[in-house]
Amino acid sequence: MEPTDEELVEQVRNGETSAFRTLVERHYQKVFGVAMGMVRNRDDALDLTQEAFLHVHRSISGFRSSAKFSTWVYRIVTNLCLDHFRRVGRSPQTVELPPLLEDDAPPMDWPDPAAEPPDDAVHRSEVRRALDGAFAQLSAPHRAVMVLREVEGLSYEEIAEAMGCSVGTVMSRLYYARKRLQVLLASYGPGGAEGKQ
Amino acid sequence: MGVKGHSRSMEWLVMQAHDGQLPERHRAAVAAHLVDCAECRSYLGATRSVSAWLRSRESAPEFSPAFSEVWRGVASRLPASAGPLPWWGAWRWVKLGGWSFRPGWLAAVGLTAALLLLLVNPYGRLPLPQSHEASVAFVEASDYPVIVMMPAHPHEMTVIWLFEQGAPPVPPT
Repeated sequence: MEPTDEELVEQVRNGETSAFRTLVERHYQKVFGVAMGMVRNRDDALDLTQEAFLHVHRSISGFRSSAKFSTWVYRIVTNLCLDHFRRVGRSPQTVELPPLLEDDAPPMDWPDPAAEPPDDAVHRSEVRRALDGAFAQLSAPHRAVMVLREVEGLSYEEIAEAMGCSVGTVMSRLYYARKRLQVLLASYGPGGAEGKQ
Repeated sequence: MGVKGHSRSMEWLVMQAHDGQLPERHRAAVAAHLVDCAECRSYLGATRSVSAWLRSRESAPEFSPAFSEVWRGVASRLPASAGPLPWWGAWRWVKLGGWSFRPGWLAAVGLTAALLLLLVNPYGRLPLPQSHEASVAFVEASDYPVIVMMPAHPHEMTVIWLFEQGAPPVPPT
C-alpha cells in the first residue's frame, strides 16, 4: 500500500529525500497546472513549480497535520505566482470592460449549451483563441480561482484556504471572472461583433 | 416553481449550481428558472464553455513537463546534507480535541507554571502564619523521653532526642 501524504511528510521530516521525491512526483502536475494557468508561460510556470517544492521542503516542519497537504501546496504556489507578478511588475493585461452587472444589460448571445455541447464549441479554433485572449486579460487572483476551481476541482472552501481569503471572496472572484469572460467572449460568439464579420 | 425575472442573485445561484456547490433545496428552483431566463442560460453556457476549454487546455500534453525535468531543478537546489531535522523542527503539530498545537507549547506552559510556583512557593520562603505554631508532642519512652515537634506542615517533622547524660542515643526501630 502506498504511503499517504502525511506519512511521506513525516518521513521527509526525518530526512528521507526519497519520500520528498515521491511527494513531488505525486503533486507536480497539479502544481504546474495552477502555475501555468496563472502565469501563462511554460518556463515561468516550471520555475514556480520548482520553487514551490523547495518552499515545501524548507517549511515542512511548519506544516500542520490537520491540514490537507495538497491544499497547503496550492497555497504556496498561488502565493508564489502572485509574488511573481509583483516582482516583475507585470500583472496580466487588463482592458477597459463594459459595465458588467447592470441588470438591464442586453443578454449575451452565447451558444446554448443544451443546443451545442461545450466540447464541440471549444474545439473551434477561433473560440479557443478568443478564450485564450480573454483569460489572459483576467487579473492574477481571478485566474487563480478559475484554475483552482475549473482545473483542480477544488471546492469553494478549499480555494479559500489555498488563497487565504474568505469563501465569499472566492465566490465573488469566480463570478466576476466568469462574467468578464462572458462579456469578452460575447463578441466572438454567434451574433457578436466578431461573429457578424 | 421557477423564479421569474433575471437578476444577479440568480446568476450567483446558477454559478453555484454549475460548481456543484448549490444546496439541494435550491436546485429545482434554479433549473426551473433556467428554462425561462435567456440571460442565465447565456451565463451558464459561457461558464461551461470556459470550464471545458480550461480543462482541455491544462491537460494538453505539450503543457505538462516530465517529472525528471521538475525534479532535476528541485534536487539541484536542495540542501546538500538533508539529514534529519533538528529536534525542534521535528516536533509536528498535534491535534487533540479539535485543537492543534505543538508539544513545545505544552513545555512552555509547563515551564511557566513551574516558575510561577517557585515564586509563590510558601515552603521556606514565606513566614509561617502566626496561627501555625509548632505543636509539640511529648512521648514518654521506656528508657528516655522523646519530644516530637510537628511544625505547620505535615511532612515536616523535627524530632529532638532527650537523653540523660551518658546514655547512648539509640534511635527507635
